[in-house]
Parts: sequence; structure tokens; C-alpha cells
Amino acid sequence: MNGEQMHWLSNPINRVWLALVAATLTSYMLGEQMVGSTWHTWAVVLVFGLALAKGVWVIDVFMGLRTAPALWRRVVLGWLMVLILALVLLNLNA
Amino acid sequence: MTGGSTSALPTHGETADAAPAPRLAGDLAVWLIILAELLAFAIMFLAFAVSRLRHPDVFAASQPTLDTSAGLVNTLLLITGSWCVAHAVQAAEHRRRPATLRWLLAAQGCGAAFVVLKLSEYADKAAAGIDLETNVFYMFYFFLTGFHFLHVLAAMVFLAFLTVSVWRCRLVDGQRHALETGAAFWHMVDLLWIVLFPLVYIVR
Repeated sequence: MNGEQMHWLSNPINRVWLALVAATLTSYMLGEQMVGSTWHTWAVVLVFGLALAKGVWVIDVFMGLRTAPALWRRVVLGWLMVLILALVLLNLNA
Repeated sequence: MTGGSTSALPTHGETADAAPAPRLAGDLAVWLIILAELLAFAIMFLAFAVSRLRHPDVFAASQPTLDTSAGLVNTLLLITGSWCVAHAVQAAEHRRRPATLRWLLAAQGCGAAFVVLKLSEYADKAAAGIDLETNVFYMFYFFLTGFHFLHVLAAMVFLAFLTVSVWRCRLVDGQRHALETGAAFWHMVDLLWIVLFPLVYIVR
């Protein structure tokens, strides 16, 4: 890895974008394989888990809530966590 | 006791290295709107999931007709749009006006591509005779994605105003507030799609 690449990756915005793209592609590939598979339950958990990770990255780094007053970060992260947990439970019962 | 607490205070030389005080990036009123939007969408997402429980056959038959590749590309477009907006805010912080302008225009390019792709998806569904009244799955599909689509359009209008503002040199010189506010709204649109994409397109 050369110095320019290291410099590019030193910016958290770029690192988060790369992670978001990787997580999105992984979710898509899991979705293509999950129907009728024996590991369907784990795939559902993993796909929503990736959505949770993506949401946390957007909230903390892109929206800047990591450096905001703690209550704002807790409220938005809490919204995401409760929503994802509820969606996982509802989808596993489908 | 007092000696211990006094030694914890920063000296004059340390003040510049102290962590900045917590700060909400953007306008408080827009953040309150964001919270309301998050709550409204959460109710709709949960209603979608509950409806899947009540109509499993309808969902199992209808969901595979969605174009997951288009959903994937739209996700990548929104993520990349958010990346561009975050860079625009960062460039504005460093008072780099041309870079701010370039990142804002790139974000709007991503938004425009999202709009074109979503409209082509709707056109395909219309050509196949599918609409809001076809069944409960499509009712939710059009309602959820349509409501989100309107938010993308609103975010693009917001960014367009900011772009004109930066272009006229009114933004970067000293004030980032409006740009941070527009960015927060844009990122909310991205955040909502991050939940919508697996829920509606991926998980079956």
C-alpha cells in the first residue's frame, strides 16, 4: 500500500464508505443464496446485522453523532437497534 | 482532595489539545424533523414486517418479482451520495470552496441517478400491470419506496440550494451551519434506505 492510499484511508469518511460498500455487496450476495437454504435463519440475522452496522457507521461518522451530545446519539442509535431487533424477530417468525 | 482535582485541570499549554465540546452538526429544528421521520418510517417498516406474517403467501409470490440488482445499485448510489456530502462538509470546514462545490455536485449526480433508476423500476411495474392495488405486498412496496423517493427529492432540492449558495461564495466563508443541516437530512435518507433495502428487497 503506497503513501497516497494510506493517506486516503486515514480519512474516516473514506473508510466508512468502503465498509458500507462491502457490507452492501455481502448483503446482496447473501440474499441471492438464502432462499430455501438450510442456513436461512442465520442469513436473515446476518443481513439485518449488516444493516445495523451500516446504520451505526452512517450515524456516527457521516451524521457526526459520535461527537454530538450523548443523548442525541443514544436516541438515534436506540431507534436503529430497537427497529432492527424487532424486524429480525418478526422475520424469523414469518 | 482539592489538589487532585486541580491537577486534572488543563494547563494553559494544554488548552489547544483539549477535545472539542460535543456539538450537534446542523440545525436543531431539522434534527427534530429527522427524529419524527425516523419514527414514522419505523412504524411503516414494522407494519410491513407484520403484514408479511399475516400474508406469507402473497409476500413469497410477489417479492421475487422485485429487481434486487436495481435495489443494490440504488443502495450504492445513496451510500456514495452520503460519502460525497460528508466530503463536502469536510471541505467546507477547511474553507475549500471548489472542492465543496464538486462534492455537492457529485452527491446530486448520485441522487439524480437514484431517481432515474427508481422511476424505471416503477415504469416496469406499471408496464406489467402492477400498482398499489395489486396486493398488500405491492401496496407496501409503492408506499414505502414512494415515501422514501419523495424524501430523496426533498434532499436533492435542499442540496441544490446549498450548491447555489456555495457557488455564490455565501457559504464557505465562516459558516458551515446550513451545509451541515442539509447533510444531516441527506444522511437520514441514506439511513432509511439502509433499513428498507434488506427489508423489502433482500430478506425472503
